Amino acid sequence: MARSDSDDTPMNFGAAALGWVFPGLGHVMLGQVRRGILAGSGVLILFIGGLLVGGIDAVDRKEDHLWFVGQAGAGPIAFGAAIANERILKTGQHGELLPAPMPYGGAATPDGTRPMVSTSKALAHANEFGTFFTFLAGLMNFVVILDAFQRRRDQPDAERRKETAA
Amino acid sequence: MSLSSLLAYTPVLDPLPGVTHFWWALVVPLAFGVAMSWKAVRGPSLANGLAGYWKAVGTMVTQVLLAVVGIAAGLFILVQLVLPRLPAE
Repeated sequence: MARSDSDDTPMNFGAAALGWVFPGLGHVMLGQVRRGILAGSGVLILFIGGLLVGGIDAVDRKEDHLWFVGQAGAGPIAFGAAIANERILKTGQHGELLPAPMPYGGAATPDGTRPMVSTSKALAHANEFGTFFTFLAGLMNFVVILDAFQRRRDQPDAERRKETAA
Repeated sequence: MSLSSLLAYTPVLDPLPGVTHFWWALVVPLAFGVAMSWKAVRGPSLANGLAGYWKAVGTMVTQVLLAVVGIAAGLFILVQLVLPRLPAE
């Protein structure tokens, strides 16, 4: 565990990395199993909830690139959902591919063909809430990662609150 | 939401059918997920059981819901009652 020069605040790079690999795992590594499970469960409720509402189309690193920057905070599960979206929905493996109504993004593709979209693509509220839930999961996991980064191993809560307030 | 659309729904692969009719209710699981994560890292001590934790989560969910309802009511009053009374020019 590294320590910063200015004070006694720990810098748990390993716990932060594990917290990104799977939500809450960083706290588990620091010996705070219960805290890690609860924090990770909250993140997973948001992420899985987003997938249930919007489908895997809610995580799209090409069409919704800026949203994906936040979603990526949830870790490999976000990348897995994005890859599944590209390999299952966009190839027509699930659902059916139909020509997109014109105009789609302003014009047809340069070769004159119309882009194909899946019938399982989320639209309107389903897409908005699915994207937002998964985005929020990424942001909350970032908060959890930051906490694991600076939390002392088995640090009592009362002591930590005093430090935070000071 | 029709029964046929619900039967055709494949969880995770398809978007949930009929969300348009109850999208506003999704603020509840959203607030719950955020509160669970937040209170796990910035809530009461977990050393003496989880009763205090769940109470803090419930309080935060209630606060978020009340804030959202309050903002909705304020915007309703602004859009439906205040703005129509303003002069056109």
